[in-house]
Amino acid sequence: MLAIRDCRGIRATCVRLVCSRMAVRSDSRRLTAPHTFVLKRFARRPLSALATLALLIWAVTSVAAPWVAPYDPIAQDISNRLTSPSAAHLFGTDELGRDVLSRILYGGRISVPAGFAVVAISGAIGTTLGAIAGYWYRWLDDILMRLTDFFFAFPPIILALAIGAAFGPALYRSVVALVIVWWPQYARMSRGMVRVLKKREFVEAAYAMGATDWRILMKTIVPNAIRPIFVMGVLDLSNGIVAVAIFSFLGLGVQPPTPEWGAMIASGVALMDKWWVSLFPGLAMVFVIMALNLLGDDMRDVLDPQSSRR
Amino acid sequence: MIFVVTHMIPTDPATVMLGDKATPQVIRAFRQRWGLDRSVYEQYALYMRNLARGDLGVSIRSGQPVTADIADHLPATVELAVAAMLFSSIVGTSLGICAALTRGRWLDGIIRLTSLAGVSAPVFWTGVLLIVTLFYYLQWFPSGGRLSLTLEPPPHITGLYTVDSLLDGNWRLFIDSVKHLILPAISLGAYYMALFVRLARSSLIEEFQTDYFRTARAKGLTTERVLVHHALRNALVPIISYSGIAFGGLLSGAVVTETIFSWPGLGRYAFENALTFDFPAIMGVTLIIGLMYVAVNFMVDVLQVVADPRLRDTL
Repeated sequence: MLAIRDCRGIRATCVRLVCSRMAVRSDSRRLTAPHTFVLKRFARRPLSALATLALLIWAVTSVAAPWVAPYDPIAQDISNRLTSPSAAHLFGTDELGRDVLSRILYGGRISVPAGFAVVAISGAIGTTLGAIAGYWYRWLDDILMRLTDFFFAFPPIILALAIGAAFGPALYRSVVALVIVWWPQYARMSRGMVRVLKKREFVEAAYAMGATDWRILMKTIVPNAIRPIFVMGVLDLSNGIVAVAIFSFLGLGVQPPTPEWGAMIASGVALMDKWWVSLFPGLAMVFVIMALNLLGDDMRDVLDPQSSRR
Repeated sequence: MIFVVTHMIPTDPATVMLGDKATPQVIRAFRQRWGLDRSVYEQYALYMRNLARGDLGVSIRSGQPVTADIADHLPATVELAVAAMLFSSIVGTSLGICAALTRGRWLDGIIRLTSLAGVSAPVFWTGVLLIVTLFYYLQWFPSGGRLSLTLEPPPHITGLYTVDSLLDGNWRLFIDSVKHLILPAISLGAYYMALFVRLARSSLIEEFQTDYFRTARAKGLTTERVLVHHALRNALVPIISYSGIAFGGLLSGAVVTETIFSWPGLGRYAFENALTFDFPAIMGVTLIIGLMYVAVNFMVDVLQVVADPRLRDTL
């Protein structure tokens, strides 16, 4: 009994050894420990630093919005409606006399996290389902692939809008509607990666040494598959934010008077000469999205060097 | 499949269409009229039978056959999507080539910055900005619609106003319809233009580093000549393959663009019907858009083989 247990222990160490060796060897450039390597390469990129700074500005201002914002974002002041940018109202006021700057600051608490949520939830669901289907079940794999085929046959936003319209307008409902059409791409990606990795020698070695399925999945496949998926997710964040904003822009997402960037831009559409109502929320959005894109690009170069050549 | 999705949703078109004040009798009559009182399976069988005959049912909202509604709205969207596609691929690819040729210099920097901004700007915001600057302040272009209100649409031949007016020989109409097309097409295509810039730039730069490129330069050909005769063709493959995906994105973006520019296309039609739970119309539009999407992707596959004969074996 004892001998068997010992045997298993040795086997496990062997598995661990082989896995770590192989993982390192699969990316020959990674000579230092992975984390310092990543940080070092990041530090060498000035644009990444700028982008991180931009995101920090967003994070700080939206967390501290109640203290930073000069006015109440919902309080109406009809006598001061649609005033152009001035010292009192840096970004002007909207059609109900609300301060645009304050609404942008508060809006950052909704627009950006909602977009993050869409990507994070879809990523988690899609990756898990894809990995399970790719590793274990043929029948699940077949079902999953037909299901994703269906989703890929339609432009996602139109499908999401149809579902979202049926759910009725509300922020969390639009997030759910978006997740429904969003997860298949992650399922496809993770399924594909798992199926490729499954045939690699180090996974077969682990299998040959008697590692359990769970162990193989968690110790050899997931660590190798997670980076490209993570990079894809980061690059996808901007799409998530825009998608949520489209919902609000069309009146399906966040409901008034809650400040949200997409809805704020929509309220400026009819007010041609009052350009500040839609210009500034849009700029805020471009600011965050640009930072995310820059960061995502650099992250791809650093974390997933194979795909960055494309 | 779309049938399942639309019917899984726990809302009742009857209450939405008739309002809260409708009496139970009216609601019952409404349901009977539209077959909503039958079981889901019966509804499905009926729908499939009609679909096989090319009948998409009757729109609950407009009372017209869905096929007729789609025929009314489809040309506008096709015109817009094709214009946006042409704009984004032609302008995007040429800017990308410029950037690749001047790599590392100021022009490259400017183009890359513009493309980064283009990728980051949401489609509805660029639309609003274009309207405010080019319509309201500069008055160069009209803000919405397909034609000026004073003009009659051209005789219906293809449904594309630009093509129809040309076929009709009506220049004034043609110029007017093109003017109306420019702003929506730019705002819809801006994002993909920026993507095409990045794609063209990076794939050309990759070509510049290949052995054949170096050989061609070494034997005395100018960069421009190698570019036109050899590199461009290779670099086009990823661009073409991406345009299939881009087309799907354009159709999605059309929902928003059409709303801003009051463009009477399929996107806006789909959106308005989605708001009133007009099941036949939603299903019809999703089906047509899905078909278009598949057809365009097929065309992309064919184009790809034309650009890269090596792919012929994979067919």
